[in-house]
Amino acid sequence: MLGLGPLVAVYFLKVRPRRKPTTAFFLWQTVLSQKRAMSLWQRLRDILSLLLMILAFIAVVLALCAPQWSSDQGRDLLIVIDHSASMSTQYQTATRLAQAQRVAKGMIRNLGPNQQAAVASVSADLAMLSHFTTSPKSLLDAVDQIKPSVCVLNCDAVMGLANQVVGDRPVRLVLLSDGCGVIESLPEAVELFKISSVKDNIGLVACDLQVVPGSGQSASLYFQLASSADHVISTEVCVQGPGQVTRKLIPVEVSPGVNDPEVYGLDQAESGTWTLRLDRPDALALDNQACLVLPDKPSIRVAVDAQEAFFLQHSVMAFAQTDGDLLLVDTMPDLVLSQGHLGQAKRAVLFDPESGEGWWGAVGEPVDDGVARDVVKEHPVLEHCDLGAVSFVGAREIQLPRDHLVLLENSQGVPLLYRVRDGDRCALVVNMDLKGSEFYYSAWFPVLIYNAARHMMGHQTTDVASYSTDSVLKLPDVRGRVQVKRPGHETYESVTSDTFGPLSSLGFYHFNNEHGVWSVGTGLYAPKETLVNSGVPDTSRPIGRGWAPSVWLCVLALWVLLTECGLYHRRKVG
Amino acid sequence: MLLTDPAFIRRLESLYLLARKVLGGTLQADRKSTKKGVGITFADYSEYSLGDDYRAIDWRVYARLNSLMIKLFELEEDVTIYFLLDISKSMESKFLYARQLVAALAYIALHSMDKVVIYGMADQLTPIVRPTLGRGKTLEVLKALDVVTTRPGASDLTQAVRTLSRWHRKRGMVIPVSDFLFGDGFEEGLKFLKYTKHEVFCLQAQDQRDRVCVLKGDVELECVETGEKRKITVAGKEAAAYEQAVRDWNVTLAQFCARQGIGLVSTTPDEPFEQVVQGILRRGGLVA
Repeated sequence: MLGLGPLVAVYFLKVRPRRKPTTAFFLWQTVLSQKRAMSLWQRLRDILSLLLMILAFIAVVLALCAPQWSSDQGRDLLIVIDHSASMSTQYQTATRLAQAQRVAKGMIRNLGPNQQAAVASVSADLAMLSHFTTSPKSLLDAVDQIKPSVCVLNCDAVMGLANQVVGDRPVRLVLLSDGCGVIESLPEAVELFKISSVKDNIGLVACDLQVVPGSGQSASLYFQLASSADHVISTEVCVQGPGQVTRKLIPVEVSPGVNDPEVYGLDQAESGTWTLRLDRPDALALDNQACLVLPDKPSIRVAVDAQEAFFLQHSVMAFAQTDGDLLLVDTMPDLVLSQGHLGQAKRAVLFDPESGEGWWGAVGEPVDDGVARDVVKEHPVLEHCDLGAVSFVGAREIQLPRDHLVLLENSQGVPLLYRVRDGDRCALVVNMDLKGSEFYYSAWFPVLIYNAARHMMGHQTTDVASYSTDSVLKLPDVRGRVQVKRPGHETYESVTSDTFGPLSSLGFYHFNNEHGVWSVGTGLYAPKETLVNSGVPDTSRPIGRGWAPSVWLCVLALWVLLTECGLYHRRKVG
Repeated sequence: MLLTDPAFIRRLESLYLLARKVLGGTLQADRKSTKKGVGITFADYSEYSLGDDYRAIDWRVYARLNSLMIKLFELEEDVTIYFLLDISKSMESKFLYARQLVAALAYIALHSMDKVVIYGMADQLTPIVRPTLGRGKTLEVLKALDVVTTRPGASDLTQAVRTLSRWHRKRGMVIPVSDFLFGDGFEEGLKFLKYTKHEVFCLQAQDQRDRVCVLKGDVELECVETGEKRKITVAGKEAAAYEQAVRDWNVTLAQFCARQGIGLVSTTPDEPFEQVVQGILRRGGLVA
C-alpha cells in the first residue's frame, strides 16, 4: 500500500501534457470546435492508464509473495520417471516418455521456493539422477538425461525406494508411468501419474529357433504374439535368415491379448543370425522384431583313452549321430575321455581316478559316502543333469591341487566332481567307479559327457536362440578372455566377469574367445510392455504443474505495462 | 544581423538602385501621383469651365477647333507611407525578417523623398518612427527598427487602423507587415483602410511553424499572444485539420485582397528579403 503513493505521484508526473506555444490559437479553436466532443474513452483513458499501472504494481507484489497453486504442505517431491520399453509408445506427436518428461518439468517449475525435489528413472533398474535439491536447473537437466530403454519396468525397485525414502522424510513420490508393468495395488506412498493413450500394438512376446534333432539342417521356429487392440488384426511375420534373406512370410491373425504360440518348420536352416519382424507399423516398434541365433555347432573331436572304452565311445557316438556336436576320433582330439589317469591331453574328463598323485590331485582311500550334493548350482556341466540321484560308488579321498573348482561333494566334503587347471591343461574329474556305480547305464552319463565336452571347449552350454532384454548371460570360464561387441557398436570390449548383462539393447551381441566366436540375439519378449493399454488407475493426487503463479503474475504485470505503454504512446503521438 | 550593419545598408542601397531603375523619376518626389494639378509635365486636356485658370487655355486648339480647352499638368507631390509592423508575440520567430522588409521598403521610400511613418501594431498602436522625410533620416529609421521588440497582447488590426486614421488625416500608402493571424479577423481593418482612401499593400510573413503542425499526442496549447491555454490530443487528423485551416485562412486573405484591390505578397523567412522587394518592384512597384 505504501508503494501506491509514489506510484500515483510518478504516474501523474508522467501523464502531464507538454505545454506548447502556438501563434494561431484561434485556428486551433476552430479546428477543435468542429471535432465532436471527446469520447468517453478519451476522458477515461488517463484513469484507465493509472488503473493499469496499479494493477501491474499489485501483480508484481503478489509475484514476490510466491503463491502456489496447491497446498502440498511444503512436502518435498520425488519424481520417478518410467523409461521402460512401453514408454516409447506414441503419445500424440511424441512418445509417452517425452510426455512424462514434459510433465516432470512442469512439476519442477512449479516447486515452491523452499520445496526440494529429486529425480529418478526406473526401468530394469532404478537410478537416482539427482539428489534432493531446490535447484530447478539440476532437476531439469536430470530429466533431460533420461533416455528410452528396451527393458521391462521393475516395479519392485519403486516399492523399495518408497519404503526407503518416504519413511525418512515427508516426501511425495510420484511415479510417471503408463502403468504397463505396474502392480494394481500400489502402496499409498506411491502416486501413479498415468501417462497413457489407447493404442493398438502387436508384438512378439516369445520366440525361439532350434535345430530339429536328427533332421540335419531343418529347424523349428516358435513364436508367440500379443495384441493390445480390441479386434483381430491380420498381419505377416517375416522370417529372414543369414544375410537378411527372407525365408518365410507367415500370415497371422492376432487376437486381443496374448495369443497362443505358433510353431513352423524351416528347411535348410543355416546356422547364423535370424530375424523375425512384424512389418505392420504400430504404437510400439521395439517389440516388432526378434533377433535369433541358430548357432554353428562345430563338432568336438573326442578321443577315448580307457581300458573299458565301450560305453565312453558309444556315449560320444550317440551325440555324433544326432546333433553332430561330438565326433569320436583317434587322432588330434579336442577332448580326451580318460579312466584312471590322465595322459598328455590338454582337455580331459577323468573318470575313476586311481590312487596316487597327479596334477589333478592326490587320490587317497575310498570313501563310503557317495551321495552328491551341489556345491556350485547351475554349473554348465551339471545342466540337464540330476546327479543327486547318482551314487558315486568308489569315490576316493582326494587332496585337491590349488587351482580347482568343486562342483559336487559328499557330506564329508570329499569332492565327487571337480575341475582342475594346471597351466593350459584343464580336466574334469569324476570321482567314481564307473563300473561299480553302474553310471554307464544312467541317462545322465552321456549328458554329463556332452556337457563336459562343451564346457571344456568353452562353448555356450545353453542353446537359447534369443534372449529377452534384461537377461544376464553366463559366460564360459573366461578369466578375462571373452570379448563382446554390442549391437550398433563397431569395436569389441573385454568382459572380466563370469556373467554379462543385462542385455540392454535390441539386436545381436557378438562374443569371441580363444575357442571361437558366437552370437546372441535379443528381443523385448514382455507381454506387459507389449500390451500398452494398461488398466491400472491413476492414483495421483492434485499436483501443481507448469509455471508457478509468480511467473504468470510477472507475465501479467508485463502485459499490463505494455498495454499502459501503448496508451502512453498514444498520448505522445496521438 | 543588425539593421544598422554596414553590410545590410549596402544591400538596401542595391535595392534602391533597382527601385530607381524600375520606377524612374527625378530626385524630388520621384513617384508620380495620379492626381492632376499644377505642374510642369503635360498630362491631359479638359474643357474649359467657368472658374478654370484661363492661362491654361490652349489657343492653338481653339484656333483649330474653335473650342476652349485647358491643359492639365501632373501634380507632383510626396507620398506618406505608413508601415504597420506587427510587434505581437506571434511574430517572434519572423520578427527580424519583418523588420528587414520594413527597413528595405522604408529605405527606398526615404531615398525617393517619400515620407515614412512606422508604427508597431499589437494590442495598441505604438509609434516606432514619427513622420520622417529625407535620406538623412535613414540611419535614424534603421536604428529605431533595430531596437523595437515584440510585446504581449493580442494583435488587433481594426483597432490599429482606426487609431491610425485618427492620428493621420492625410491619405497615403499603408503597408501592414504581419502574419495576418488575427483572431478578430482582417477584413474589417483592411476595409476601413480602403474606406479612408488609403492605398493598401499587405506583406504577409509566415514561417513553417505557423503553417505546419509538429505537435503530437497530448499537449497543452498556449496562445503566445493572450496566454490562453487548452489541453488537446493531437493525432494525424487534428494536425491535418489545422494545416488545412491555415491554408484556408491564407486563401481567404488572398481572395479578399484581390476583391478589394489590395496588393498582397506572402513570404516566408526562407526567402531572402531582397528577393521579396525585387519581386514587388518588378511587378510594378507599390502602385496599385
